[in-house]
Amino acid sequence: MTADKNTHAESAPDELDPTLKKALEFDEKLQRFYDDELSDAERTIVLREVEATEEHQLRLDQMSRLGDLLRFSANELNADVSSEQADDLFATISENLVNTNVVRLDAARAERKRHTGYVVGAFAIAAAFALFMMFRGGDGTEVAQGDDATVTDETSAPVVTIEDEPVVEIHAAAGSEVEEVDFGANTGTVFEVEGAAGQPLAVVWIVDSEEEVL
Amino acid sequence: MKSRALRSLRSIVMGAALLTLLPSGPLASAQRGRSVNAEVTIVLAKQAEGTIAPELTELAALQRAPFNAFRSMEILDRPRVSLREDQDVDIRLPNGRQLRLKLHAITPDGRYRVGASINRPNPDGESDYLPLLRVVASAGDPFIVAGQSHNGGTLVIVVRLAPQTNKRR
Repeated sequence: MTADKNTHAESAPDELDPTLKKALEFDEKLQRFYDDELSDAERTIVLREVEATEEHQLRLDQMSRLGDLLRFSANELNADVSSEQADDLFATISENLVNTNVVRLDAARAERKRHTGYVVGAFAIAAAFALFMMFRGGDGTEVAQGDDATVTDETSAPVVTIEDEPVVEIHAAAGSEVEEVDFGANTGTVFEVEGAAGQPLAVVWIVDSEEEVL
Repeated sequence: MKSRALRSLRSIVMGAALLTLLPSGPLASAQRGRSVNAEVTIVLAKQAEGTIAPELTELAALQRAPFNAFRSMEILDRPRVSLREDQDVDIRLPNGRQLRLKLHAITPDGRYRVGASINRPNPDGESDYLPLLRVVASAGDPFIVAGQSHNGGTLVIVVRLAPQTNKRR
């Protein structure tokens, strides 16, 4: 209900009749009362005068009905006016306001939108940078330059490098073993000796009873 | 509709199972084609005073009993052969016999199952010296066949296997 405040709340000119001037001042106070802009003390005084004067009660009632009417009109406009009609309406209003000393609402909106865009953009860039640093996997101190250069910020937290990572290797059973042997007509034995790593190595020893065949 | 889909799925599963069982599958051919390097060190060991071939110091087993009873060891030959699965490879020994090696299989844990025998080069009815020996050995870990008499000493044959793709240790 502040839209029509300017029409009622203009300061009363000095050259006006004192009675009229006083009436205008009280009307302004009444308007502020209706808009709930008064301090508690002012509100108490105005309320006492409204209760005492039928004219003030009537004026307050007018303000209330005017407020209801404006709210209703605004709702109707929001409900029934299409976007094209709204654009036309605002265009007409803008044309009428060209030569007036009024801050144009659409210009103000555009400016605010631009500022909002900058803020949102800045937030988006900051968020993207934060996500990049979070999911980068490193500590954020290394910057790759080309294929083989890496710069490390030594002022940040120390980086622990594990040079000899434990490697788990599964080895087959070491050594050698005899699964089956047939000495034929000879005699022999099978035993094991230790290899360099302590692994068992199979030895087949045959007693050679024959002459050399050379 | 549902039973038709089930039948199709069952056919696919059975077909896949049959493919894995077929001996002519790619897996079978890959297994058939496996091979391994074998280094055969033929040593003449004698109890007489002498020298130990420096190359044998890497074979720790020959410095342990009973081999440490020999006071001289000489490398007579050191052939290196490639063993293919189920293919015989013959190596002539200094005493005229023949060492036959065969790669039977590579076990799932990467060891080698190898067959060895020592035969006469021209069988004339006499029994072979060592008809059959089957050994499982890990890469780089040798097995030893010893005891044949030769030139006043004893032949010690050290067979060591290693994968073909890796360098020998």
